[in-house]
Amino acid sequence: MTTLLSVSHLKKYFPISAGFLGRRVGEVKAVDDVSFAIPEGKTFALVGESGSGKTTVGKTILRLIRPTGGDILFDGRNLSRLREGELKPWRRQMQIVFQDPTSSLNPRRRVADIVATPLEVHGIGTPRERLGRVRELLDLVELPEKYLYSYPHALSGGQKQRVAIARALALNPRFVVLDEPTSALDVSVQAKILALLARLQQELGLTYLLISHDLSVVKNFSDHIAVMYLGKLMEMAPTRELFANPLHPYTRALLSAIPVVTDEELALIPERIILEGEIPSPANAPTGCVFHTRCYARMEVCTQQAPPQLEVHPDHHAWCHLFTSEGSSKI
Amino acid sequence: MSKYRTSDVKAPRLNPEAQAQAVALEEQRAARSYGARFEDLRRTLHRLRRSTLSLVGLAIVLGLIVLAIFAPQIAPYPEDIATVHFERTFQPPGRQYLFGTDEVGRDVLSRVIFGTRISLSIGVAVLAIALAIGVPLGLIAGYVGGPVNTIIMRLTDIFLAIPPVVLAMAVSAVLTPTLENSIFAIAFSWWPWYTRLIQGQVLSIKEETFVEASRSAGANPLYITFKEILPNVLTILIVKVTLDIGYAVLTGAVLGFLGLGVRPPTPEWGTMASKGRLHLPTRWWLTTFPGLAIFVTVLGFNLLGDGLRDAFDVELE
Repeated sequence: MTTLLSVSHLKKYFPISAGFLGRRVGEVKAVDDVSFAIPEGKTFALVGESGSGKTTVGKTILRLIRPTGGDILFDGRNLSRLREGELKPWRRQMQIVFQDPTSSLNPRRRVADIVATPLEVHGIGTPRERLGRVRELLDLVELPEKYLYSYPHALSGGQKQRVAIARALALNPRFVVLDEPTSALDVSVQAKILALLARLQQELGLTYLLISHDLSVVKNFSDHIAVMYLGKLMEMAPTRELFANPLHPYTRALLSAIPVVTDEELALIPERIILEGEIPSPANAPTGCVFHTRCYARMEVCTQQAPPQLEVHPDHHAWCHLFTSEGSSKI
Repeated sequence: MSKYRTSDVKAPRLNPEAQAQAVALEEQRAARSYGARFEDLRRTLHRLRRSTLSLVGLAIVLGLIVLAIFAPQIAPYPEDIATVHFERTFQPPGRQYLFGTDEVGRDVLSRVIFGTRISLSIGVAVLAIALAIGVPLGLIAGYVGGPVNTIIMRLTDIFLAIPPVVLAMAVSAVLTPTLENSIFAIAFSWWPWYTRLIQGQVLSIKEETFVEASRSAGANPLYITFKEILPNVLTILIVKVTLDIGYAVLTGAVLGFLGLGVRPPTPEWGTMASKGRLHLPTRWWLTTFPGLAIFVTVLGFNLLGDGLRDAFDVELE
């Protein structure tokens, strides 16, 4: 299995300016030393609360945001230091589907124009040929052709997201970032959109980076999961392994919070763990392990030292002192 | 691996009634979007039609345009623009001269009708220049940001600090009083409002996700500005321009009244009112009818602009 995209030591710090002269008074470490690799044709999920930096990771990979540090290797080429002009050929291969289709579609443009945008930008085909491609794409995302000249406000949420997906696929990308693609939709529509995305992945051999806070979506949809908290990775493992054997206290708390209906489902999830407090401000992140302020397994070392990456089981990584020499006695 | 089975993703059970409702809603949407090409325009016209006042505004504006274009055909004494008739000075309004005659015997009605040409050309030309300068500057300031934005916007602030009429007066006092110079003087004080309006709009629109989506497709700033941002400021521009044409006409008349605008014998309403002022109150028709013309024009553009604002549902500061 070849790696299509790998990210190493990715950092994005946003400066905090204050006062009349915009003096830099601090920084928000939105993404701090994040590394992972996505094999071609697979789905890699980033999960975390809002404010954990998962969306920033996605946008930085697409270079919609310039990284502060680290490398983004796409198909062997480092994109992190390319200039805006040099990025254009790479933009054909990487696309994004945003969370809220209402704001990701221009209200003053018609569906045909929206979907043709990437083709137009890259100067592909004549207007007539582009329209043909748009029809093909609408067919691919199962949106009736009669909506070709509709404005977005005439479409339902699910239909809008189909338009956004069609636009993302216009240039036949290899890699698509799905930034919470279903969380703005009605529950009844979510399943349809997920099924569509799964079918497209199979038919077109797409590689997905799925950003989500919804563990029940991630569980059925992804091959690998990485859990983020305050800009840092907490745990990373294949999906089955992570759900079967969560190591990090934060992951355990998250899994215990999945709402369940039946008793069988209840038996599958760990005992309910309720975290205290709120996610701290990323402008003033805790020392040591960023999770220590809310951790129920906190030790002395956690407040002072950031935990290193540990491969606890094959391909199952955790960033937690419970698995270092200091913490091993506690397990 | 079974991960692609759709049955894995649980769809919630809807009750049949809600489901039927959802289907009906979907069909309604579909039916509507068939004619979607012109949907926006239709909706706007529909809303405009429902408001009597905006229709009055529209009628006034259309009437003024007709008067301006066909002035030589409509005016009863078109030759009075250039000729004097000392045999019939100061005739009061009557059957022969509806608005009376002035101190050199010219028909006031004919001159007011020809004045429509002058006033409308001031209004339209001022706005054309203001748009040509203000909109590009606003787009650049808003999109580029940084020091470019600071320079453009501080420059704009300097202009905005001086009341438009005062600035226009200062400029026309320096220049020779011709129609072109009046237009230039007013436009000179008018463009900064458009720079500020557009800059503010661009600043908020460029943060929208659809701009980011366009950027991720590889769009350059020009594409984003013209294809993504500009269509979203068009409605607000149409409304503001409509309202402003009335005010530009008024400013032109103010300059004329103060003797800084178009010189006689050009039939400019402000100049006519100013000249007639000497003969008040006995020969009231010399000032009243040009004044009424100004009033009706400003009112017409205002009513239409307000109507368009409601129809497009936009907010001006």
